[in-house]
Amino acid sequence: MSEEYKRKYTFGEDYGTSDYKYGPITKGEVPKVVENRGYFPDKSALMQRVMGEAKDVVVGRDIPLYLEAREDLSTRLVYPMRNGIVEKDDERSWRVVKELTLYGLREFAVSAYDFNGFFVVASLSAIAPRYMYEKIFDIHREIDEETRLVRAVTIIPQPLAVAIAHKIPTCVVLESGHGNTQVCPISRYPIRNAIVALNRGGSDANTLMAEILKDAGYGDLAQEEALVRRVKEAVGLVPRDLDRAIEVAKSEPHRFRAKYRVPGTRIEIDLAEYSWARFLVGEYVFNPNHEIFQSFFVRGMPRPRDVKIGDVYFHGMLDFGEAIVSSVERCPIELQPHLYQHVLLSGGNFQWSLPPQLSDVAVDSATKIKMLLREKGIENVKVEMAKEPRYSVWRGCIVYGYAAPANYEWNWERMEGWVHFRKK
Amino acid sequence: MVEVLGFDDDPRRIIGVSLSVGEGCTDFVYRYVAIPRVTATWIDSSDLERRGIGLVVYAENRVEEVLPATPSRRAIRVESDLADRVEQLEERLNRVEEALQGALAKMEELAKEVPREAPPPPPQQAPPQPTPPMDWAIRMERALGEVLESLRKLSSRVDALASAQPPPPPTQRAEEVKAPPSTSDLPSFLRDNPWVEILSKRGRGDER
Ligand SMILES: Nc1ncnc2c1ncn2[C@@H]1O[C@H](COP(=O)(O)OP(=O)(O)OP(=O)(O)O)[C@@H](O)[C@H]1O
Ligand SMILES: [Mg+2]
Repeated sequence: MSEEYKRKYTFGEDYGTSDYKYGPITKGEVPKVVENRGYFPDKSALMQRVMGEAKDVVVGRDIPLYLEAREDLSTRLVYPMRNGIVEKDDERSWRVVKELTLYGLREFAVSAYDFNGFFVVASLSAIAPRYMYEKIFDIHREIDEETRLVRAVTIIPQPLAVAIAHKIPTCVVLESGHGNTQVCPISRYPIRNAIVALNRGGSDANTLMAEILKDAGYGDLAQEEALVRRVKEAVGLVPRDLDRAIEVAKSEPHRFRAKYRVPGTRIEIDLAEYSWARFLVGEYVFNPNHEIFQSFFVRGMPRPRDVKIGDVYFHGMLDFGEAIVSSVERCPIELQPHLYQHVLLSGGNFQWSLPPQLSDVAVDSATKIKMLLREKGIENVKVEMAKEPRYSVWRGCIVYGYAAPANYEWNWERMEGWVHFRKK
Repeated sequence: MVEVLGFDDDPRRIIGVSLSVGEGCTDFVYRYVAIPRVTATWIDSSDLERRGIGLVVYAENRVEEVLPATPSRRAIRVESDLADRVEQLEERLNRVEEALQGALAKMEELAKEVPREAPPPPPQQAPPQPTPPMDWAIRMERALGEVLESLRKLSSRVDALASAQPPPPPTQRAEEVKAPPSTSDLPSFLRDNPWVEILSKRGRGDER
């Protein structure tokens, strides 16, 4: 199998907790994106009969055609990677993963005479346990048997893909998406035993935002997760120092007033005298340990918990600075200063906006990380925000497939290389 | 007409019903939808505005009109008709009053002349009245009931039709994979990327 063929038919797959990003190298700069979810329709429903064959799972852009009454959604709509991990025996979730993978590959099926399947590079969370790798391989093998669309497949951890897409061979990647956060040092390879995982992501900031909305008289809207998320993204701020930010915001209510108009509707959300609380949301993501958050826990807001999934320990309350330090300190001493030279932030949970007129008390994510590290006595640090963080994992997959030699065979010890399903 | 929707109804149904409020109905002045505020966040208010439908939202013991309705053209016409009629009636009433006043004055004069035998008082003439309001209301109500009934029939037929309609064909289409990118038109993330060299050496046994 020639390198030339492989470069022509490299295919990337990023299994994010909320979105699946996929596409071949020919897609250019940006992959296709669909929600990482599947719908199990009621087979007796009218829509099913109209569509002819009854499907047991629907994925991709057709899902809205099938959605039925609302009370059904929570049981029928499955998000397989809600916290980056799919349980081993969670059959419905694995059905969705397979269907979504097939959906993506079919969309780019090629009829060219020389086409004999893609070289697929899939990307999973850095803390995905071994059985998830096995499952993803199995799924691609089955798909290849049915469709001949997969010539070979490999899996790389998402933080490695981010480092590759940003052209940095030695760095610490902090990847924070919707469900969780991973800290992974990289030096040409991911340093797996230094990975630190946090059970905290954008969804936790949504939980706090919902509480703030309740306090401000919008309890009815606080139940709509998608809306809460948009409000959070629009009004949430990261404080340089939380106490100071709250003090200034309370003394200048006009300057800090948080208003959000739901696009296309007449509904406006005005935090009014609670506008200072917009700083809580940003702080909570980076460090949930300020005493002010206690009052929310006391009244029943769930606290990010320490959990163990498989053999991975997820910290709930560790602040991001501490997480980076404890990850880097597990690496060889001589490597550590080089790692601090490139701290790379990636994922939607770092995309906080910073209105220039509020920059006396609000900061961007990179600055906040630098400040948290300074508190731990780490001074000489460069922190940068990944460009287009949503696509960098997919881009890294494409580079990996393009460059890694086709005859580099998968090895479970290195956790690298291609799995070939067919004899030459 | 009143259409009652459950809180857990399919959002598409709530939106559909909201946008079709009073459709096919001619005798109305204003059309409003009153929905929970949270439901209003799913509805594009410009769709309502274009149809002249007003929006009232409620939440946590508060009710608020967030979009005023525009009165129907028929309502405006009816209103101006009514105003005309009232004006005419007023004029006639004035004339009746004048006539009555004249008659009364004359009667008084006569009474002075003939103190004992007063003539019978003239029959009290009431101003001509439009259809009594009660009647009018009852007839309106009946008509409204009929309209409502036919609307209900119509909407159930529309529902039946809609659910039987085949969905648009799936958008999945095989996308052609183009020729391999030449080094010059590689995507930006591949160009000058040190990882390309690092990774291309994998498996040669010289690492790790
Ligand atoms: N401007 C913004 N401000 C704050 N948060 C944001 C912003 N934009 C996106 N987010 C948050 O980022 C999260 C989604 O991040 P991302 O797209 O990286 O997740 P994902 O790739 O689906 O999941 P993961 O990377 O965890 O597997 C959401 O919680 C979203 O609210
Ligand atoms: Mg992601």
